[in-house]
Amino acid sequence: MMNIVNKKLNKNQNLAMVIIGDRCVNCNACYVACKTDWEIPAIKEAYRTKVWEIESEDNEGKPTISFLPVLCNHCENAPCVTVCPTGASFKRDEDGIVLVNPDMCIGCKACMVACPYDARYYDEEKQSVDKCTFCLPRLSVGLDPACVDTCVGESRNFGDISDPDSSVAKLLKNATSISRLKEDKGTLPNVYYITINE
Amino acid sequence: MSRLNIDRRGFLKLASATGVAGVAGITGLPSPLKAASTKDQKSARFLKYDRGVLSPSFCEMCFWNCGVNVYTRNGKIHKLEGNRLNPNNKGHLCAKGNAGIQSTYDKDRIQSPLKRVGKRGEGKFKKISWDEAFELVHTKLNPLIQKYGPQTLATFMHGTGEPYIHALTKALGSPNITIPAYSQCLGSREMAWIFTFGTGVSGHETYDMANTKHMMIFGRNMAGAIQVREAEDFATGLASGAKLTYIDPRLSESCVNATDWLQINPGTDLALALGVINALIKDLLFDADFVTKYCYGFEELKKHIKQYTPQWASKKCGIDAKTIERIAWDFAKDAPNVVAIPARRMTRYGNDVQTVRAIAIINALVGNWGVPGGIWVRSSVPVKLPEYDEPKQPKTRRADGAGKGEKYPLAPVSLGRTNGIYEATLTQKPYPLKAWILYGTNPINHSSSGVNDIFKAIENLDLIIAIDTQFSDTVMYADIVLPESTYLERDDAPHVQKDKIPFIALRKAAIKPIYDTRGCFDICKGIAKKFEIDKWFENSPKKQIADLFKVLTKDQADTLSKDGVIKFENVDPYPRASGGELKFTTSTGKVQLSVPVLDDMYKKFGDDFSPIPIYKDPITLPKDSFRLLFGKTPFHSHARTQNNWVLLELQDDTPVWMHPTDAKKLGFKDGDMVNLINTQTGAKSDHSERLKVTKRIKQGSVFIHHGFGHRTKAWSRGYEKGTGDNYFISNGFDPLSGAGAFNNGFVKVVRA
Amino acid sequence: MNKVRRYVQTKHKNIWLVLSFCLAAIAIYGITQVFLHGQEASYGVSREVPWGLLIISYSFFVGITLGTAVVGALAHVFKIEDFNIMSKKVALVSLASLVAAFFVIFWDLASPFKFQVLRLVVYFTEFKVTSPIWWLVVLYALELPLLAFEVYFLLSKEKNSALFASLIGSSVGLIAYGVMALVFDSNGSRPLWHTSSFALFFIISAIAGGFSVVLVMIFLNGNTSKYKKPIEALSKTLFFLLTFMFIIDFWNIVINSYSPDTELGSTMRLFQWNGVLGKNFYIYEVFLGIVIPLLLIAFGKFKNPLLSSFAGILSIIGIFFARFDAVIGGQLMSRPSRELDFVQHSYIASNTEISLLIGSFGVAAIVYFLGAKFFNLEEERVDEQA
Repeated sequence: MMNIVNKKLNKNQNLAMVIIGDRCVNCNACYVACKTDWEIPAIKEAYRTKVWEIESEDNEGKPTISFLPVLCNHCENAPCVTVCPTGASFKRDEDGIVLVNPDMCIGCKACMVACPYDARYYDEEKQSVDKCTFCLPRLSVGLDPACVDTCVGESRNFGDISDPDSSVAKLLKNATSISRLKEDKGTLPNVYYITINE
Repeated sequence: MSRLNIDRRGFLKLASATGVAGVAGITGLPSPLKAASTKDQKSARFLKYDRGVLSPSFCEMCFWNCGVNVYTRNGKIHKLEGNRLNPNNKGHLCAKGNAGIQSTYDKDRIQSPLKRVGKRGEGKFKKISWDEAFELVHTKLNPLIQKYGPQTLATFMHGTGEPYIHALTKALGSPNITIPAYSQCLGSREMAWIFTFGTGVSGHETYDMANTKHMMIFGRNMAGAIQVREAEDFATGLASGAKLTYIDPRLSESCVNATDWLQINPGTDLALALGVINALIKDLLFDADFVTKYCYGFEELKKHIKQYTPQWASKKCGIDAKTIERIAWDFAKDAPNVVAIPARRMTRYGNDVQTVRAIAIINALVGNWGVPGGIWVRSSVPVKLPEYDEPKQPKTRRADGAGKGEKYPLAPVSLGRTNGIYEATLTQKPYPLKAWILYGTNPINHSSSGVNDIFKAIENLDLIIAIDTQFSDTVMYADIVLPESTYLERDDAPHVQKDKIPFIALRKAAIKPIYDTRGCFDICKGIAKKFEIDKWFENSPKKQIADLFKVLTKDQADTLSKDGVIKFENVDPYPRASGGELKFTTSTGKVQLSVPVLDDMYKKFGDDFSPIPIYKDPITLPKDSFRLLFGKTPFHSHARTQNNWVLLELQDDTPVWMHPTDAKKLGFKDGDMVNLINTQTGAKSDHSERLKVTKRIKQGSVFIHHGFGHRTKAWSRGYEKGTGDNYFISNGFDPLSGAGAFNNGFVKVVRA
Repeated sequence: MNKVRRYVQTKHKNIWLVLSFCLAAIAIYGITQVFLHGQEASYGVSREVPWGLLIISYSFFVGITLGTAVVGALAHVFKIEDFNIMSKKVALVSLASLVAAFFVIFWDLASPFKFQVLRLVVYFTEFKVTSPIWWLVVLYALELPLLAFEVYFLLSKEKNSALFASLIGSSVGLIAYGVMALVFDSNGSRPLWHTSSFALFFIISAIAGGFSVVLVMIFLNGNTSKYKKPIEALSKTLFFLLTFMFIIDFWNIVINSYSPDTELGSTMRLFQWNGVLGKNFYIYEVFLGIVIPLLLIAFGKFKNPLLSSFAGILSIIGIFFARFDAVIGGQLMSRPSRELDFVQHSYIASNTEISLLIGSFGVAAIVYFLGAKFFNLEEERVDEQA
């Protein structure tokens, strides 16, 4: 459906998350699955993904709600990588995943401030800023990311969107609407929000 | 599945990069600085994942037993994942299910058998051995049984160990078994469904939401009161374009994609349902084939329903008549692939059985039984399972009025009326109740304890024994505490589920108990030994698993031990769609639009017992008060999840929801701190809450989330989090089922 | 006043040094907290507001470094004799302020007790030229020796070398501080920072801070009658700079009030009178830090040493608040997507952070007074004009 899918760069894969908005039920299973798998510190501030509940009103003044699952967008133009003074924050050439190498981080938090999506947190035990890895360790043994695996509404889908046969590419192709967060920031996120109904 | 290929060259690169790191190490920099920064080395740590050892289990963070794969690294549980093959969850877990580890490794758990040494509720306990504990149970309980008879013991149970407590109670000779799930949750719904269809909805609900074209939901919060399969099917149905008519005074999580949200007046669901039935019949929208062939009492219904026009319903429930008619038409248009769904916790306004009856009648009229998108037909596991002898239900009359010839002749004696037991304990009538055994239950927090004066009831007890994995407000009052191992630490009997696709799931201990705890079977057996009734406890969970494997074929056994679950897919959940005959196990063998069992009672006791629902107005709101509505949050079950750190991060308070008009009248604004005052008892909440001013709640009602407000001092995290709804909800009951009616609780809201 | 000063100077030459150590010792509280409870527990910063008082202090101190270096450079390079007073002391203040900046940023960066900051050295060769902080490291790593050389050359009376060092030092300082502003300014996620007036205000106010410091120093030095011309020149320049700052602040408020619903406009809500930073902004930053100093200087007709130096003190305080408002204000408002309302976060500096800030003033004072003692700068007063 969209050109943005093909706008790709000399990478082997373009890993992306495709979130079906109609399917999220705000259970936050993703939050807990992620926190558990990666032993993220037991403080409210430390999380890699969560679901926002958005309260609003329609034109007639009736209240409405919707849910917005958020995580690192693994942007093509990742501002966090640009500002990192040591190269601790980096974007992998082979699949586009943005990572932080905790051995190189000096904790200046420039990346946290630079991220338009509030996707990063400081992990004092690790002495490093930390973030979503698209569950690269799990991917490396052939598993899905923890949040995708547990997603109750099967809202989260993950895969290589540069492969037209992948489930995520098909989802994007058949979606009735596609959006990404804060596209005006020019970050070219790799997390897509789609609807599949009119 | 493998997305990443680390080829040999990649490995070599990695190896050489490591060499570089080695050289860097000599430069004498502080240790964290040693890593080299070549690209491969930077990613290296992210390219390994030790999944650990798998042991099969099913979840017990709530009651509904989703399939869980437990992964253990070096003897420590690392991760819980849904079992893809288990029909209860298809590989997914909710937030609570994912947080099972945090509950098991909670240092606040009960770590050994305890004996109370301080005053009740003070929380002063002495550590004792298991043998001392069992001896103590005997020396305390036996004299009471001798003096008052065995019926002086009442037992409460919730969890996988239920059968053992059940057996123990009966073997000791007491009829007073209560499973709160009946009278505090879905008793009235099940009764209405059984009246109509001969079978209950069951805990694993039989609505085929995944394939439906229209769901008409009466306050069943599929997303908030989350049960994984139901939520999955709900999401799938909506994503496939199903219409959703959602009826609730509150806009809950489930409204997110609702086609229509009908903000109904609290307590008037019956009026709306009757209005819909009226429209279905008046406009000839019902499935005449189904009604003729399978239904009993249609003519009576047709006559009876005339009075309940949509216009009449509109006056009662506050939804305009046109909308009611439109909904009925929409619903009928997609019939039979449609389903009308009653609330799950159907302990609301005291007219609950009749309300669900009307909803059941809607389903009957559209003929959705055994049809995709309607209501599927459950099948039993086609295996002759090992059977074990059980003690018989004692003939003694129950203390709570359940059973033939009693006040609630239709209430099942195997489940009991928990609310009746509280009352009997308070009044010590019809006979003295002097001892409680609580298994995984917490009456103080999860009943209408504010009005029932549960603390006074407790004073009448000479003995409270608590069997639980963790402390709770009620455990703090126990005289003897017997710690149960968590579901990750114990073997349990196989989970056999009659369902759309019936299956058997296994639970094997993933780790040894961390503390000095035991499974419920061993605890009951230990007690039984002292009373010399341990002949009922010869089949341990381990043995039950072994027995099961004996009756399975080799293939089946292999599948079960490999996958942790075995499904029997050769069943037909949609017999009507496939042209088969339907069977109903009601007294007439048909779907009962009118219930003959109630004919006599109707004559004797009046409208509440009508064979076809008769509408009655809900209790009106006292002046200057709000009706307190409450409901589940997706992040907590009960006390069980309330000290779990990761779930507390998701929610640790209970904001009071109030409509802007009401707030304006009282001069409140969003974010103000308020307290609740129970209009009936005058008691004020002990915890101030944030006011959430929102149109999401009906004017005249306030809402808080259920499950909070624990004052368990043994908890380092969940202590004093939020306000407990239990102090404010009503202690009414449904005259038919005898189950509770909690939504007639009224509160005043005052500034903190 | 003079009596006291003379008493202190003659009888207790070391009293300033002792007081400095006492001031610096306050940081021990913060350091202990960090040691015992860790940074996250001790600092007021959070996920949403990762940069707090320590970064603010850093940007403040390097600002003073720049400002004082500029005063010195104007004196040496452009031979503006009126500025050429106490050049050694001014250079020393510049150096001391930079050391304080390093001190305070040290505690902000990860794991100070493990010297994690050394990773900057190890991974310097990543050459992250896109990272303003990488440049900041390069430039301030240069700045420190340059300032040290300047002080050394000034003391050894190698005028040409001193001039050269001063020129390079202030240029590097100016670029470095520009990069300091760029750390914020380059950030497209924080609309408050992402405007060119932001960088301009940062640099102008830093230089104003330098002039303020020198004015205060002249006053504290005593014998103000000797420095009539420098005081007037300094006061006038400060007046001009403060006016400039006022104009930027004023137009920022005006311009942004035209687009209240944009991302930037929403952030500017913080600076309304009843916004969380409103009092900070109007009372401390604008009124106390700009308006009052302007009035004081004008009232003293640019000549009154007491009023001018008092104006200097106020403007230094104002500049500190300006840094606070800018750094915190940029982070307080955020939203995960455009569909959502802004969420207002909060930041309250913790006692630990405050103690480290106070301590860093102590550190600056220690460097200054030790330097003064070591190089015998107290004599400078006598042969100043020589």
